[in-house]
Formats: sequence, structure tokens, C-alpha cells
Amino acid sequence: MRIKTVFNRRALHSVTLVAMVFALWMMFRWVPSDISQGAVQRILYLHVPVAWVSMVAIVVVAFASVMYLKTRDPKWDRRAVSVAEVGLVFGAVMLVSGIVWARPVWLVWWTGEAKLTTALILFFIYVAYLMFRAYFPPGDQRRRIAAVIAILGAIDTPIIYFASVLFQESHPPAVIGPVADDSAAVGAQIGLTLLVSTVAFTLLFVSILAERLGVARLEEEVDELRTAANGMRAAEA
Amino acid sequence: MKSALVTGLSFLLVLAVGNTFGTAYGQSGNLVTGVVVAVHTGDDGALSGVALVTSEGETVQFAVNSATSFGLENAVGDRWVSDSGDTNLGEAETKLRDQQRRQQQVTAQLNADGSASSVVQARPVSVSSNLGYLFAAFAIGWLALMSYVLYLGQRHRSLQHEIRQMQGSEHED
Repeated sequence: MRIKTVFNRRALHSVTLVAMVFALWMMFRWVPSDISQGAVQRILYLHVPVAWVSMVAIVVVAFASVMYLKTRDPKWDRRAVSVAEVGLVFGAVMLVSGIVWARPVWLVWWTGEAKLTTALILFFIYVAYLMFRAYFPPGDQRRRIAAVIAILGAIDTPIIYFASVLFQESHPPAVIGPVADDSAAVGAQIGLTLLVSTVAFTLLFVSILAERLGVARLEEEVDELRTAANGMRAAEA
Repeated sequence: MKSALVTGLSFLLVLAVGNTFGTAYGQSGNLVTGVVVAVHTGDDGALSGVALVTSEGETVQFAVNSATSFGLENAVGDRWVSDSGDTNLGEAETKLRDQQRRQQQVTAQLNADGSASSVVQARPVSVSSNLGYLFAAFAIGWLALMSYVLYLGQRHRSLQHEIRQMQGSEHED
């Protein structure tokens, strides 16, 4: 079983590597530069996929949390915290790439508009979830409260997506999905590059998550061994 | 991990609340430069006003009319210049909406009554002029991802070591 898992993980990493190399080639060699924004527009191929992944991740954390509350099986809690940790890293990359893109295009690093603020709130939700878990004593109560934080946090995802439609500020409108603006439709080469980079970064997220889940399993094993050792010591005493 | 979280949180709070990094670029006398964020029309459907966001994050709104002169470029760099004193407002609206969609910066010269006497392209963007920002975004992004992967690898090894030690001490007992 373990050999099969390691093999599957290696196959996943290999596919991710190939997809990422292909996506990087498209981003920097294949797709032409945007005439309005120049080279900095290529940040789109990093920013949009990591934003997508970080928004999907909080929904997955919420799903795992619901499953934990329903089944009280700690494996769902471990899955939730693993996804949240990787989601936090992708969320940080989303914020930093957006900030760096905004400076030459908007002339400011940050504005307080709805899309940016809700994305920052998503990052803070991840931080709050993980900080709560880090500082609250382990046990069922911590898992239950963390699950509630995650479920409430997932509400932010549709708000981020619809913010550009509801508030119509400077952030570029959505180019994918039900509220995509036809006037903001991107060209075929940009659209294809965006699609490939989204697939590549999603695979990267799954790859890193697989490793994080491996660490979570080892953490569980250590906890079990500690419990057993403590039990033995107590019996001897 | 805890200290990294606290550091990241503090940095983003400073950035979000203080907006300390903005530089003064937007306004100079009765000139205002910024990105087009809204194009307004009046009750008759004709172009009536424009809103810009300046480098300081301020939204500046001003009125435009047929006396306003325009000099705006399209995506391939062709410049459209309005007829002096008799601007086609329908054409101006189309061009301004194009500027808004492409997040272009324009410079407006404002009159005392809040209307603009001219709205022109702020400056042409060189395709390779902002490579530094592109490099910075990808470098920081990859550095963050790779640092996390290395942290996971280190944690994996230390847990395996701990398990071996605990199992070894169990056998000794």
C-alpha cells in the first residue's frame, strides 16, 4: 500500500513538472506581450491560477470541516488543516503577485477596493484558522471550532468572485465563469496560456498537498506512539 | 511557522491600512493623472463625466463636454484626436471605455468649474519597460512555494527520525 502511494505521488510530481515546464514556456515564449501593459501583464499567468487555487482550497477546507462535524473522524480534520496550510501559501503568492502587478499598471501598490479587500480577508481567514489551531489546546473542541471558522471563511469565496461585477472598480473584470464580461474577453493565445497555467498550478497545489498529507500521517503516527508510550509508563508506575 | 505567520500578517496589515508605498504621481496643479475607472453618461445617454484613480489611490471625477479635447490611443498605438471645440461625444465615450478596459492612464487638465479642458494619454508604455516587476512577482512567488516545499521536506525527515527513535526505545524496553 505504501509503495503504491509513493509511486502514485511520484507520478503526480512528474506530471506536475511536465505541465509546469510547458506552462512556463507558454507564459514566457509562446504568448505575445500585451501592448498596453507590457511585460508585466504576464504576471496574470501566475496571479489568476494561484488566486483560483486559494479560493478553491478554502472551499475544500470547509467541505472537510463539514465532514468532520458530521462524522467526527479526525482524518477529515487532518485533511482540512493540510489544505488550509497549502492554501495559505498560495493565498500569499496571490496577494504579492497582485501587489507587484498593480504598481506599474495602477501606479499604486494597493487600493481599498472590494476585490482586493475580500482577497485580503481570505488570506486573514487562512491565518486565523491556522493561528487558532496553533495556540488552542489539542482536542475535539479545537477541531470543532476550527471547522466552524473554515465554514464561515468559505463564504468569502463567492464574494471575491462577484466583487468585480457588484462594485465595478479598477480590478479587471472576470474573464472566466458565469459573470465573465464579453467586452473583457481575452485573445485565444492569452486564454489558452491562462488555461494551461491554471491546470499546471492546480497540479502543483495537489502535489504539494500530497506531501503535506504525508507529513500529517507521520504526525498522527508520532501522536499514537507518544500516547502508547505514556500509557506504558503509567501502567509501570 | 508561527513567527512566519505573524510576520506576514504584520506586513499585510501595514500595507492594507497604511498604503505607505504609494508615490505622488497623480496630481500637479490643475492636472490629474490616473487610471480610467468609470465613464459616466447623462440622462440623454451622452458622455458626461470620467473618474480616474490617481497614484495616491484617490478617485477624481470630472465632467467632460463637447468643448473637451481628447488625444487617446487604441491597443495598437493609433492616436485619435478629437475635433477642436466640437468633440464627437459618442466617439469619445467609446475611446474612454476602451481606456478603462485596458486600465490606461490618462492626464486631464481641469477647469475651475470641475470640467476637463483636455484628456490625453498619459505616457506610452514600453513593452519591456516593466520587466523588473515581472521578475519580482515570479521570483517572490517561486521563493514562497519552494520555501514551503523545503519546510515540508525538513518536517517529514524530522518526524521519520522521531518515529525511528520512539520505535527503537520501545524495542529496548
